[in-house]
Amino acid sequence: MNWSLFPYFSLTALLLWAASAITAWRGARKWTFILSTAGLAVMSAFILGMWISLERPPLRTMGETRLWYAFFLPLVGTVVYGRWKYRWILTFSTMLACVFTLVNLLKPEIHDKTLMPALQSPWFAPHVIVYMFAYAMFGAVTVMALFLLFKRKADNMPAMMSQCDDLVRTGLSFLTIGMLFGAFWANRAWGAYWTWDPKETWAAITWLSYFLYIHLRKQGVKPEAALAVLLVSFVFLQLCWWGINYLPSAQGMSAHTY
Amino acid sequence: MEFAIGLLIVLVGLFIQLVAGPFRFGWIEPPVNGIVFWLYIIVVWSVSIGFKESRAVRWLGSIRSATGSMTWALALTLVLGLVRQQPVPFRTFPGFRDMLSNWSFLLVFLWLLTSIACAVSRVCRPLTLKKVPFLLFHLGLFLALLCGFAGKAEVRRCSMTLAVGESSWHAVSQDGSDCLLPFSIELTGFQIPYGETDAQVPRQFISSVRIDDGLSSKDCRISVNHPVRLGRWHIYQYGCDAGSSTLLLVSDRWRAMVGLGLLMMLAGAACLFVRTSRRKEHQ
Repeated sequence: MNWSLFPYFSLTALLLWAASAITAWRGARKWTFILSTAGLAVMSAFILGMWISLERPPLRTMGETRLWYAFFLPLVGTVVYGRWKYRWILTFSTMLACVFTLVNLLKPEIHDKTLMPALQSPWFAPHVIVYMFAYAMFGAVTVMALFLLFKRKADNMPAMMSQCDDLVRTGLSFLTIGMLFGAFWANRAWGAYWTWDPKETWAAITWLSYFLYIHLRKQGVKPEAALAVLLVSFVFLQLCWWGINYLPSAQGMSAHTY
Repeated sequence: MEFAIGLLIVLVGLFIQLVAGPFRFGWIEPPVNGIVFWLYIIVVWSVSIGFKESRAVRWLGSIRSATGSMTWALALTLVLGLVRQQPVPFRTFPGFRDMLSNWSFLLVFLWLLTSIACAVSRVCRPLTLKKVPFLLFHLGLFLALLCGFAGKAEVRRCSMTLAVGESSWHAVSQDGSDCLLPFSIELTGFQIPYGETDAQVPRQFISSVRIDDGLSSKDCRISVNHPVRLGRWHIYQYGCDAGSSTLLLVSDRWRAMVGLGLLMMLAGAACLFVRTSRRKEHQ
């Protein structure tokens, strides 16, 4: 398996997910799950093939990270749809998966086959995969926050806010677990759990910001204020993920560059 | 009110920064850090339990104090993230280039830490099984933050660069000073195996060393992500340059306590996820 086969696998998966999103709007739940699962099977076949042919988990580069993002977004979308029955969630997850897939299609990144020594750790795969889940949940709740802030009438606000809380709590559990996995890995590689490296600092900012949302909700602040915190948190998440590459304060300062 | 209190704490921090300069971790070298650690724990827990009905303790354990301290901690951590950190050995004001030694930053985190302690002390009475995830997470965070701070004063991180055949009892500390070790390290071999398909990419850096403490010696291999432990010291593969290998030596007695705190947080986070899922299923 190699990147030259990616267009066939990714376009098939995207078509299946798009069909599943359409069936979700029409209320055909059975077909939604069948089509979504079929899309996931196609994408996971490509990832598995890459994993075998690279002889390592395809998790090292931005291109490979996008691959997992394109896989996990529809997966989380399907789980969220199955449990909470948001009809919009699959449209959202398919659109985001489409964006990540298109970036990979238009700008395929060619990578070395060998994983660099620092990344050869049992913490590597769980750290990244758990983070992907967290990012997907936060992506979903950000769209929901935008929807509630700018579109939705206030008639069903408490129920919708409760759904936001659940998405944030789930995402925050994943984010915390991913961050702690990273800390255990850093301890094994560098002899310190936390060094306030720029990447770690922005991870702490993101983490604090989402926890602030949870606590503000407990305090009973206005929903609009809490939703605004959610939007700002998502900006922090982007800065932590890829934005620090462009931040003057972080240039040449981070050990998290591979 | 919380905004004003946070602002006051930051202003007090800035005033101390102006008068006394940045916080020096050298001030709390052992045994001072141990005394500060136990004194803080005893004072904060006895006050939060003994004066639980007082207005100050009730406020410190309240959600308002939590959101206030988190907002200010977030704001100052943002400064840490946005201003390039270049600690200098002389007095600076306002000290934003060395936030980890900045009084405002430390005082705001002290407020956050005290808020956690008071919230835990309030919530844990009466103790029920349902409260365990909350307690695990918050106590874990409390332990990790406090031990990370107290331990910073006595962490020793040194590096040693050796060519094959060389040995030394001396390493170089982060500040450039000499660090005499309780053992010598001899580099008996150094390998860089390369990937099978692309010869340009190193697969691993492996140092073969002989460690001698004067009484006995032992041979071991140190590679990236595979450190070796010798008493209080952990030895890591750090880098290499033209036939020489650089090892990182770390001694940190408080690290185990920080690790325990992080494990407690991990358990708390896992419980948070399970509980959220169950709550939804119930609904």
